[in-house]
Amino acid sequence: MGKKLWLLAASFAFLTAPASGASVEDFYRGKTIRIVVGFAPGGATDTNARLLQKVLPKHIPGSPNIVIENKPGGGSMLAANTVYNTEPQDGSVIGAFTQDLVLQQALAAPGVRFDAAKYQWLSSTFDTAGMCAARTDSGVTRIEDVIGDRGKELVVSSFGKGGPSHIPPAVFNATLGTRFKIVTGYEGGAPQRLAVKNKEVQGFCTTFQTIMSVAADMFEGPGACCKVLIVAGSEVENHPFLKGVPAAEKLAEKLGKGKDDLALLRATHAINRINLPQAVAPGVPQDRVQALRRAFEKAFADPELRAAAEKMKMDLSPKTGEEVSRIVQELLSTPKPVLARLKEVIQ
Amino acid sequence: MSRARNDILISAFLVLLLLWVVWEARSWPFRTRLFPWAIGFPVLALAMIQFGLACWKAIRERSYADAVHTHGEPVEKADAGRSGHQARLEVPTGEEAGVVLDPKLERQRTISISAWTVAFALGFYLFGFKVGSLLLSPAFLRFQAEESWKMSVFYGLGIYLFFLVAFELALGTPLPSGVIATSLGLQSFDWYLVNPILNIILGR
Amino acid sequence: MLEAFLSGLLDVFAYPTFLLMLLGIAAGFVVGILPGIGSPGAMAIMLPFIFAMKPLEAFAFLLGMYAVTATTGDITSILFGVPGEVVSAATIIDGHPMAKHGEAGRALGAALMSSLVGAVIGAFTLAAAIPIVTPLVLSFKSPEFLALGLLGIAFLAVLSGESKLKGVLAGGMGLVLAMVGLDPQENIERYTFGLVGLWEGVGLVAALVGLFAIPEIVDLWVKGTGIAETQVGKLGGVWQGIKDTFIHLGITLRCSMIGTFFGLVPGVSGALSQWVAYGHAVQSASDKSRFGKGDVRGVLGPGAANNSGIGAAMIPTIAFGVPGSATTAILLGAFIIQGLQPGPKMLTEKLSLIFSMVWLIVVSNIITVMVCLIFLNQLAKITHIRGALLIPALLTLVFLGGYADTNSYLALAITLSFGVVGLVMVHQGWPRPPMVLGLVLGPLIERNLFISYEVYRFGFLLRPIVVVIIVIALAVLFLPNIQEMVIRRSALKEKAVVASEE
Repeated sequence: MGKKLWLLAASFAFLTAPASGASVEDFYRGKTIRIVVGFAPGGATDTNARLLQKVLPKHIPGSPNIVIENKPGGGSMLAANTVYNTEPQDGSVIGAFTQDLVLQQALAAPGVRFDAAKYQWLSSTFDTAGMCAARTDSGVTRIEDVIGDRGKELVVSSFGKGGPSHIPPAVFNATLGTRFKIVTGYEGGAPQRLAVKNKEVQGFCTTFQTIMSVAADMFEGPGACCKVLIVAGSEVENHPFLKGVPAAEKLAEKLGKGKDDLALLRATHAINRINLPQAVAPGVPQDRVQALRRAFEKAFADPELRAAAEKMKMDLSPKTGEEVSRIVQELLSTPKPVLARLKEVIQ
Repeated sequence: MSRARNDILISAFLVLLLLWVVWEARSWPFRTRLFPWAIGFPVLALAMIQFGLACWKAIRERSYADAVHTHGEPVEKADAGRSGHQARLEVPTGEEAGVVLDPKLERQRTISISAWTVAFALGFYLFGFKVGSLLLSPAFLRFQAEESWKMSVFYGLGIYLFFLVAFELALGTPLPSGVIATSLGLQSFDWYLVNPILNIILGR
Repeated sequence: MLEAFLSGLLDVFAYPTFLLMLLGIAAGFVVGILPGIGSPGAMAIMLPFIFAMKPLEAFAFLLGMYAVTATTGDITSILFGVPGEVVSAATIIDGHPMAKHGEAGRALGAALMSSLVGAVIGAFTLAAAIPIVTPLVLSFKSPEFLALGLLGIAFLAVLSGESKLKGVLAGGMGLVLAMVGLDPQENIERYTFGLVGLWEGVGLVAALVGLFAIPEIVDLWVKGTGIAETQVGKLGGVWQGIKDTFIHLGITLRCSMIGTFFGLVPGVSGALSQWVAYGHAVQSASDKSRFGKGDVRGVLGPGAANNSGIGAAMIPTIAFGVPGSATTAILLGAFIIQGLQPGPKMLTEKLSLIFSMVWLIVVSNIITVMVCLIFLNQLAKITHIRGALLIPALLTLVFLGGYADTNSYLALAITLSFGVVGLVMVHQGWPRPPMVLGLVLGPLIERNLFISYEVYRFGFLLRPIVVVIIVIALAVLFLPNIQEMVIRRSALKEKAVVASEE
């Protein structure tokens, strides 16, 4: 009797282990997908995941239940490590972490225990760019005002070295000769912006998407305090906040900067084109990966999601998993000298 | 097991720990090192003072005890006032003792509950919270607390059902399945039994 | 403005807003009562549901939940000695001993009523402060945060009770433990043994439940009784606790103000204000002997402070987008989901909504108090159940609470480690509150120290608000000594007068 029970249990295990025999729909029916978010609830990565959580089930064959699991730690490094190494690789776990981790891997930062090239990317939500802004009462109205020996020094607030608030000013300093004085140590984006609002510092840098979703009031309306000075990338999108603002790469060309500077600018800009990505571990079977990728595509086109995104003033610019993979590969194959220089710059 | 002797051990441990804290920081950049040293050195000094005090108290206790032994006089402990009521009974509450216990029984119970606490933690780690509690709660109740089988099993089932209904069904947040299940690539152990049943009940 | 004030109130009672608020309260009840499982996790779970709701409905639900959890968190702190919420930890210090003496009902009544008073004060402060809130909040910059951290340090000594050296040492160890993780300036690992799971620090929730809950569970088993070791007559009852709130109205009100103040300051959370409130309750008492053993004032202080902080914390969240705690961070997320961008605009364009939020907090708390009053005496009876039956459930919920904060198994180990530390501390008479305070203050002080120096150099010490706060800190530290000296001198004078008359 005991033996039969064991056989039964073992066959259960075999039936439900990741096998290519079961179709995607069979696998997901009645199951729960966990989206492991590398940040605490309430932030952009988390909100994005919750938005998708509502809409994705309809588009995944088998209509699985989706839950969010917040696993903050090391700027989402912990989540990325865990999903890659210890979580099941059967397609029931999706990781949502910051795209900056790819850069961390490229720079051989400590703590990286995954390979972004092998991660199977499912989607990204925004195609945005880093930017720097200054208070209008700081005496700085154009980026040229802070460039070079005759330029003013602009104190900017930053949280986290090597992150989206720190890389733009550091890289602009190194490539364009801007004079941003970076004060690190703020606890997050909100305290960073508060320091600008209460005039402790005169400017700040972050992604343009962040500005549009949580800080638009700093740039328009009665409480407006600030003006965008410069945007990373080679072109500037058409937006009222960006009138007359130069693109970093164009500015570099105009100032006669060399290839090395341009390469550095391009490398650090690339990462923001896959803002808010999601991925599954390398071991997940191909058919499920494809199903998930298509599901994400359909989710982003879903009217329910679009309506919610509009309510949140989110300007979606999603990319498919394949596109994200391509950009990740590009990033990881950035020439070593450029990476070495970047490492130096953000030190 | 005198409190004074334990205090010596604790202070000694703290001194060593703080020495390590300060030493680790020696090769860090200035900004990273500042706080560990700015806090570490003063606290180290305090720990050393505490160590000295603890030694001194222990020596005094010993000499008073000797004095009583040889002279048979009632002893007035000068420091009794400071932590008096706490020194009287070794009750691990550190506050007014509401219940007086035989020290041996107390030590035995402390050890057994500590062991069970570690066992619970281990159980949750290996089996997840639902299954872990289902297994360990009845185990504790039956084997340690000597409750009846009926009570133990009902209790275990009760906790399990609570988790199942409140977390998984109502809130839609499954609890972790434990390391064993995850490393084998399986769902939590109870899923295989319960999910089919739920499918029938809920008509999925 | 008055119009918005009143229409805000009416909106709360409309359908389906009111119903959603009730649902939120019910959910918050369950969450708060479960030891270790806190409001951040529960509110996060609710986020998907609010996508489709209108703003007022969404906030009725979330605020109903949030407003309640601080109060119900106090319940588990008192009954089980387990912090139901991070902001309820200080309630354990006197609340749980009261339960052990059979005075659970009184403690619960006191916590409930002081919570209500605190919530009302905090909510109306939110309303009243709206016109002046912008310049007020903006005047708090990094040096001021640093000064508040130093004020907290001054309270370390107060919280140490009679064993000052041990207390300050415990506080120092708390500060040292707070350094575990990545340093805020250079992102270098400090004392993490290579574990990425420690990069964000040891984790306050796991540490709290380990430090407080585990020793209580051990104690429960060792003494072999229920939580309450003695039976107490009518005096232990809930009504006594409610009356206590008004007998000691001074403490209740002042601690409400403390909680409100800390709530207003952006980024400094209720985790700190509850200890300052507790410390203040201790300091302002003439007879300090019963603190730590079941003095009802030790329950009133934190009870008032952690609820008043809720209303006030809305201000930095709504007007500046700077959340002071994990829960307000989620509320902020809820704002974004609703398409409301935090900022000064909210205070002008959405005034009616803001006032509704004020009323939601007040009404939720009133309803909670009323419901609790019905159940409280039954709840207090839990303290008479034999310990063995409580222990498995407590252990499960405690470890789950620690785990749920970071969803990492490492939290189990952290809880166990702090459990060992807590046991040793209790056994040897080392006070635990200073260690918690050190843990909370460490990051606050370190970050703001560096930023203050970078931006202002040493001039930051001369800023007016900084000076005021430092003077208060010095007063906290030395006032008792000065008082003693004054008393002793007048006693000596009296003796001299009496002697000369003989």
